[in-house]
Amino acid sequence: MDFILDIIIKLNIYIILVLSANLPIGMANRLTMCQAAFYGIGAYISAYFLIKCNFSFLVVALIVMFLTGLFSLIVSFASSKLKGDYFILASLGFQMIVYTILYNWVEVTRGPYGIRITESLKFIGKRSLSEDNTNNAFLFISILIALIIVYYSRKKLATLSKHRLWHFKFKFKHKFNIESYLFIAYNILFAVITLTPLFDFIEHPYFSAIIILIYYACFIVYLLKWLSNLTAMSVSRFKVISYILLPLGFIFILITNYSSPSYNYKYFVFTLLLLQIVVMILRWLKSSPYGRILKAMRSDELSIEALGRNPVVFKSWAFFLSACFTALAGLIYASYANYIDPTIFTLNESIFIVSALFIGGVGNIKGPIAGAVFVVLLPEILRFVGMPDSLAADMRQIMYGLSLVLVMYYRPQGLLGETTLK
Amino acid sequence: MIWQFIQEIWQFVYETRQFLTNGLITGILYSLLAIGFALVYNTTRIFHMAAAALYIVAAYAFYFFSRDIKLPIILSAFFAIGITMVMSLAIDKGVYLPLKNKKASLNVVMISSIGVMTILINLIAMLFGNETKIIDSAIQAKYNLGAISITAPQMYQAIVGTTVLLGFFIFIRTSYWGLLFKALSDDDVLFETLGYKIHKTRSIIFLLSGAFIALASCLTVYDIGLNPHMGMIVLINAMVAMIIGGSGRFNTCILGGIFLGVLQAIVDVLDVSNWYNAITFVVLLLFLFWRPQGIAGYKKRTV
Repeated sequence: MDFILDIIIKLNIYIILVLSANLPIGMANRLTMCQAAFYGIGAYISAYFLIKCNFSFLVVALIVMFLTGLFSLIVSFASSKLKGDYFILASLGFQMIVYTILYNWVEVTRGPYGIRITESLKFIGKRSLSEDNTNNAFLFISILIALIIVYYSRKKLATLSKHRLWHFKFKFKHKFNIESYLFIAYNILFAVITLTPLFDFIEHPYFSAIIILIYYACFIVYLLKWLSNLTAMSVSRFKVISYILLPLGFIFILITNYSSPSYNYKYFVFTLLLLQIVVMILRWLKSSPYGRILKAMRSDELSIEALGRNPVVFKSWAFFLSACFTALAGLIYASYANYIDPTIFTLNESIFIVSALFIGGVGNIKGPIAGAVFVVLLPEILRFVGMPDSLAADMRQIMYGLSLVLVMYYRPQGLLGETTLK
Repeated sequence: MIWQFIQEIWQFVYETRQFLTNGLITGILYSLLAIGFALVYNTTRIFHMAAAALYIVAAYAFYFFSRDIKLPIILSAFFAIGITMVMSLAIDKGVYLPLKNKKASLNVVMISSIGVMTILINLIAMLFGNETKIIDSAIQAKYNLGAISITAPQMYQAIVGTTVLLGFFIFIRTSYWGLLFKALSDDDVLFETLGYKIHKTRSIIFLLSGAFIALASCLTVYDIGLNPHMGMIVLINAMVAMIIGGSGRFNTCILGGIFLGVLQAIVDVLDVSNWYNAITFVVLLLFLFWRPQGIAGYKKRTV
């Protein structure tokens, strides 16, 4: 079980990485090769804050994201000066310089010895809810109240959903619609996320159970929609499946969560939540005026300039945000793996991220996610097939290369991408 | 004052002559690889990352013929160069040309090139193993030229490298094909319009580029040994040499390569050789910002 969770955590980290690589490459149309440099900078800065300072997660995340964002100014300066292949070379150079500094500046980064992080992530509330029954009751009462509030304010939420800040766009036509309840559950989830730093829920077994239940339900709704799309029949025909799958899954999840969750399980839930937040922000960013300007810039930069916008500023913001989210992934990695050394953040890692992005597709949200899923899960399938370990690593790389070449030839926009790169 | 300055420089050169000689020889190897890369890059504008894989292919072919089949060194080097030339042409015909016929953008071609590189390098790692290997394990003879001592592999590198570079210099300057390469790098549409055979020229360019990459590879590998993941960093250094030397031209690669080699020798003299890559790329960034056309490049030719 822990093994599968480990893969999923890795997958979540990679999805964040690839999504943030999509910002400069897919949306601002700048092919960079230095994502792993930001990943490394983020991981090292967060290692410093995790070890030296007793800050809570949110504070550490904000500091790390901002500081790494400042480093991105170098790259955006280069992008304002250089064009085409020269910029690729410059970003490659930035990656190599950062790697060399991480490797050789032993006094600060401990160089090739790496840094071991003994502290774990902290949330502001210090009490552990699982030991205290009154707190248990408090949790359930608060969730119940939130549920009631959300249920009675669902019309307002429905209008809110037009802004597409939410993952799903649901319309409340029927009173007892599984989707509407899911939407409500989603809002509760969001409320809980915002409350997380206050109550240290993440330690609580039921909390993770609830989140997994909601994700499971979302998955089933997706399944139903997909089936109905596939067969061109209405969703209600397939509701029987959900009647069977939902209770079974719920019982399974509750049983597995009855004892206190393992380390991997906590991080699984945690990374899932963070990924959800990142996806929501990027979704909102894409449909915001800023995202639309980026989209226009992607197709014609000169016309945007003629309309009085400065492309350099928008590109710099894209680099800044990309570095921020990459640093977030670095923070998660540093706190999850408890050990970082410079060999993780090499040029090959950058190339790996970029190739994941190109396999999935550039420009939208689902493309990078598809790429990351493809790239992370493919080798695991290989492992189940029964390749010997000595060959598996090379075989995995060969499959990446092969899929990259094939995708670029037969489907240049990637598996689910929006545009092709110019 | 100028005389004093020259004297100081001469003093520095005299004291570090051993390092500078090593740097010059490294520079010759860089220029060979840079020419291999520039031949493709200048004429077709493809960011030829697969050159790193070709470098490795040549190295392992050389290893295979000289150690596993036990052919003489020179013969196996020729075989390695031949195999790499064929491979280079195969990459063009199998990957780049179909993409060009589909009118794919250059970035797409570059990503496919990265894919090809990954496939080839890991295929070789799978066949030969990931560990570092040595071609000639005997202790090499040393030659003393005055106060400078040079090992036998370095001697070969210097002699063969200088000869080939000189040959290339004359070839590009005087021959018909050199003129065609220059014309193609200037304007490929006009080249085709005026009735020259673009596919034939392209094939010859890829063959020649493969030969140069393989030659650089064999000369290096005979000296320092080989492992499947060394190609990337060498290729990036060669790219830097190409940019520093001057964009859009071929002979400037020699200038850039020797500049880079001497620079790294000076880094060695200052005893900060851990920071090789950082210093190389800082120099590259300085060039890109202040003089993007390189030392002796044409000003208008930016991609």
